[in-house]
Amino acid sequence: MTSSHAHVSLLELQNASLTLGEGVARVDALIDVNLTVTSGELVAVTGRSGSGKSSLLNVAGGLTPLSSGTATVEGEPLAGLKARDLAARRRRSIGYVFQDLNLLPTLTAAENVAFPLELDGVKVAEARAAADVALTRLEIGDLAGRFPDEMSGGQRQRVAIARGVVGERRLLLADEPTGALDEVTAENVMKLIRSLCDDGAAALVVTHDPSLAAWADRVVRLRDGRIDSITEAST
Amino acid sequence: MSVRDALLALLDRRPAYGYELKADFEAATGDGWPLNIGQVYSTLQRCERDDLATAQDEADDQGRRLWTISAEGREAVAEWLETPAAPVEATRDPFSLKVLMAIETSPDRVDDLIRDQRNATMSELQALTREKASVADGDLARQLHLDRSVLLVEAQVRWLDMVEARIDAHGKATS
Amino acid sequence: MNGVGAELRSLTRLAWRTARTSPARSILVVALIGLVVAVGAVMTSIASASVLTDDEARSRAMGDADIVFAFSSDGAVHYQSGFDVVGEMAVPAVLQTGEESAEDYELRAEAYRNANRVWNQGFDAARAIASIEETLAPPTSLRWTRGLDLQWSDEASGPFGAFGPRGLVLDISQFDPVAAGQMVVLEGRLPERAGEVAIDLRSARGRDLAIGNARTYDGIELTVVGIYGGPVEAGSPFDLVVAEDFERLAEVNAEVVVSYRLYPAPGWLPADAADVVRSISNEVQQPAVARTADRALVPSPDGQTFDWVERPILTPFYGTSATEARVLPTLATVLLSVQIAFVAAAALAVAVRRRSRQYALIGVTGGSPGHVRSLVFAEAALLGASGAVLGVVIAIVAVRYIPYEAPFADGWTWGVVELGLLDVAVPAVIGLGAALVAAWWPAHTVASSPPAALLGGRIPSRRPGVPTLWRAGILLALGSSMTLLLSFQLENSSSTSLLPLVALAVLTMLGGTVLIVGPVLAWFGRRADRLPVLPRLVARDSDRGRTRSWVAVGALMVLTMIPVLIGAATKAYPNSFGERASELDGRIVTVRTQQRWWGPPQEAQPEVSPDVLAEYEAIDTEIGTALAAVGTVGVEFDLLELHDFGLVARSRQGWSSSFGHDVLVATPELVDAFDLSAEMREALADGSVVDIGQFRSSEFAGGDVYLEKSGAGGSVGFAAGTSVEIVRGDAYLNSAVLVPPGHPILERETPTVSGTIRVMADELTRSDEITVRQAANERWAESFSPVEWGRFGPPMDLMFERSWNDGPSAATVRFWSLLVTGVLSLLIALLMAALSAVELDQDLSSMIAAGAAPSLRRRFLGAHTLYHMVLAAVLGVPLAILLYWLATRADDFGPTGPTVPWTVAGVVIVLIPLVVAMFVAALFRNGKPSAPRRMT
Repeated sequence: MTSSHAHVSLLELQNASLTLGEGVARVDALIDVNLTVTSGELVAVTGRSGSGKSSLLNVAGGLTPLSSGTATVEGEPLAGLKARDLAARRRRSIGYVFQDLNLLPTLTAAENVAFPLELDGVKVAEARAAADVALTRLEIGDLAGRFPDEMSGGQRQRVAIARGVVGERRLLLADEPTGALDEVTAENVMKLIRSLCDDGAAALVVTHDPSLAAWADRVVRLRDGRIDSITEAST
Repeated sequence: MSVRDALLALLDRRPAYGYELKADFEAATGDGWPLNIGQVYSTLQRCERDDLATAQDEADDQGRRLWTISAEGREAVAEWLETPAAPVEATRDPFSLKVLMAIETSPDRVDDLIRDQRNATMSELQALTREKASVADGDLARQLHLDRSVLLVEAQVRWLDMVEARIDAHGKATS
Repeated sequence: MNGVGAELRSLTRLAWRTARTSPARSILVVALIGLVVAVGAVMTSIASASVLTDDEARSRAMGDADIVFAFSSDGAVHYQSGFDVVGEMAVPAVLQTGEESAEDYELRAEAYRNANRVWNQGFDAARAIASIEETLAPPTSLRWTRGLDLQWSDEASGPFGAFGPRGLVLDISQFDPVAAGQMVVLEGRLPERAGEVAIDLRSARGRDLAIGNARTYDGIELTVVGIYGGPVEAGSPFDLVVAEDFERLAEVNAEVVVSYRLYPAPGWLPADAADVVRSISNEVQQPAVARTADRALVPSPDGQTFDWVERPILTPFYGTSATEARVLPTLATVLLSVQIAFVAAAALAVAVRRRSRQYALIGVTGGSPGHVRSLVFAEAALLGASGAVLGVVIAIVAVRYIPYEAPFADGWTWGVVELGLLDVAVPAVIGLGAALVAAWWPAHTVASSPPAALLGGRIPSRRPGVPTLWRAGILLALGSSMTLLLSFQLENSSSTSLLPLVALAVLTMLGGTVLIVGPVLAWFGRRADRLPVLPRLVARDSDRGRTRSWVAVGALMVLTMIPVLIGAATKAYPNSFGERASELDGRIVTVRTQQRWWGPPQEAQPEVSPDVLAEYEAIDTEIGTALAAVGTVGVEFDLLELHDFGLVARSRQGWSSSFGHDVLVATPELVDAFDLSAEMREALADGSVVDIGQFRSSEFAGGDVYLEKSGAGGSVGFAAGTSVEIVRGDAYLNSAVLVPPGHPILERETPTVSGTIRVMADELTRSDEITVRQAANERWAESFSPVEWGRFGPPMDLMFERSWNDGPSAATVRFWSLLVTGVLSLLIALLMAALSAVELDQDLSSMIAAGAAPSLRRRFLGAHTLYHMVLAAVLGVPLAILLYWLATRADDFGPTGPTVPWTVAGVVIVLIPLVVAMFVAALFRNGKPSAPRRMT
């Protein structure tokens, strides 16, 4: 499991704090979180409901701006970027995978994967080629022409992951990516994510399932918005 | 007791030598349950005493005797396989004991204790998961064993999460 | 650049596929846009059809001519009638040739001359006639008469409109009207000096003038010295002034009207019409043109030569430039598309809501808000383009079924509307624009929501600020009271300066009503606790989604008002709405509200025997006398309708719609002489004169003849065989032609269209108010087909002109306005309800799962729709009633007449959506987004 890529910091959160809501509904979702994810790493984020896991993911991808602190992706801070520029960062650097309903139902697998590239202005043929590469990498190259409702849950998750890493994207942000899958399928998906990380990507996986978190090199536990503990995998 | 039944089940398959039985046993359990050869022989002797198996009268040139299962032995094996085993009990688990005692006797240190325990358990889980990932596809027994280990350890982690949650809730309720 | 192309293609492909996932909503939008485009294209092409060709435009020069000659091309015997050339309107004079004996002709001509308002100006005419006789080959004998009309406008003339009273200038040194039997002096004497006038009896009565009274026309004082009766030009009182004052009066904004009549001898056929025209023109030093049935001889643009043009147009009032013609329909299309855009926006909003998760995914995977917005717009553009294509196809098909008519020189003919490229392209663009406009709100809603919030599957609702009831209430009260006060003021004043105030009052009232919707919604939402589940859900949801409910109720209010206003208009202006003729099954209701400007006869006249002529003359004299006795204005008989019985009354609408009318006078002697119906005999038995020559103001559509019998409505019967009985109220009888059975006219291929019955009444229906008993004549029966009615022109061989109503009947207009606005309201309310249902989808599902009936969703939709429509009706109807009140007050709002209520209606229709949209935009700004749901 050695990586041929130099280790690059793909995500850096420094003193990241996030406060949501106003008045009575005001809540500190994240308090002073420091986290770095470098290429090749699979980092799991665990914690109870309301601990701030999803907020961490939102902040990492620029979906929610920080209240204080900095978030940096591939060396470039996310602060102050307009919605358009944030979207561009997401197109080029960050991939999202959710527990379910990841795909646009009216596009085929290949079109789904190629979508961010096409939005970025890449020629259709090039984008499609990159999509095929990604699908093959995730061992579902033969599903390129299928629509999401013609695939199983595990296949759909793989397509979502493929979309997450298509092109030059290396930071994968996943929220319970295997939550809707059975044990064996879940394991296969995690294996693929693991191998992607081995090839130079990095993954930040939010989960409440310890067996899923166990796939990570580092398990970060959140509690009430703060980092409660970090468990490194013994090498 | 279970070892005896397991050895008998192996004998049921075909007669074997003591050392063969040890090797078969370990293979079938995915190397997750190492056996002492002495334990094997003593178990076999108990079986012979209980008329569940018999050994060859004459040893071979290396002093090893071939064991064969008896009719009563087969019955015992059948009964063992068909009777569902009792589920694992949680009460006597040293891990749980420690946690429960800590909650009872040193409530102010429970947080740290749980955290440390979880870290350790989690590391274990990570190691197990890594091991599982590297198992060859054909090695079913090993896979099964590792799955079980992972699940058990995972259960510990989950229980620790629950402990933490319940303590918090209890604290809020009584404060 | 390649990048942009790839983006667009990707988004367009996604938009297309997405649109197909909500087929119902997509089809709705496509259909609506198609409707707008089709209607717009058809309307525009109809308007374009009114545009004149070059030749036709040139032939309008005929209106500038003082002399118009009409040559018949077939040499058949035609009657001869003289027409007046008035101002811009040219009414052709027809030269007749044919087989008539000279004596017959003389008689006829003489009779005609007597019957016409002909004033001899011997001097010029003689010269002109001499010159023509020189030019043309003999035998030619022309009688040449010339009359002079003077007309000016007079503010005090009131309802006479723009034409005002007319003056008649006589050179009494040349002509003695009394001696010529043209008038009878009833009181006083004819004027002998400058400054003296004699007026006709009717105008004396109408203006309350007596001998000795003086009137001043722009500084010129004229004193009444005599009152006369006589067959002068119909309709208006006029003053007889001495010729010396002519020039002075001419300075007073007067128009000089010259009329010529030619009476050629039989057998004469001009060898070269152009020569005739030119010579006469040279002689009298005035422009002249000539025409045949289908061509006109008009001067070339440089005026040096004469050219024949095809299909001359005889009215200057017809046709405009192509651009002008298209303006109104385009405007109407835009208005319609604004309303349609509302509905389409709601439909798109529902579709967008349902897909909020997808938009979240797009945002999360790297789509910028601009991409999301473009996606929604792309979908709308695709739907709009499809709708435009659909609309064009519909228009192409529909246009084939729309005939139109145009008043050409040969009568009204039918043409076919053609669909020009511009007629189609502009509405298509408007339709596409409407789709894009409709997409604005849904696109904005979804693009401005952060993807994180959308992931939950809901678009975060922005709760508008707490609405201020008192602010809305004050505005409403202020506006309503202003409107009420102004409406009373309008009754008494006709000043146009009130118009801005009216507009302000109306807008304030509208603003207040729209503002009050929000507080009402909130009020109901708060007090919903005691209601059962479903109403409570509806009320609370409408309060929560107050923005969307506000818009919905506002739009519905507009729609509520439209039928009310249209109803007001149809009631206040019944003249603008005609009644279609129904089938002739023994009864007919023919109401004509548009008058023909003139009526060149279509058909040849049957031979007339001298006996008939003599009879006619006798009648004519009697009639003239009788008319004079009652002070009616004169009769002009159209020899076309000279029949055995000799009684002809035909509208000589001559030169002005306001003044044409017919006269039917039946003295007791006449009653005996003619085969009148028993009823009429009875009606006339007491010796009263049935006077149908009273002029009325333009309040009636075009000065139709008013039939009165001693002040009350009555029935008029005619000769056996054909009778018209008008048994109700105000009836305008334009002319009555009596055709007894067996009359030779029936033998003709196309019997003369010889009369029009105009009945003007409020709320005229197809009931038996008017009865026409048709002759039991098969020929008539079979010559009439239901298809034929409604047109008029040569193919029509009916005894009465079919009237082509100018527009739909009042009832039709009301019905359609109700239907259309009803459907649109229902659509809007339903779509808003659907929006709410999508928002509450999960809640409704869990309620059903918890045990509510599965029909909950349907019932929720129904209750939601009903709530909004009732609210809109409750708020909108009082508003509409106030506007109605305002509209019906403003009858005489300035010289432009009944345009103000339409202006008010226009304000409502145009501005309400804008007002509502402005309020909504303001609300969006004030609202605070609710806390995004936190994902766990």
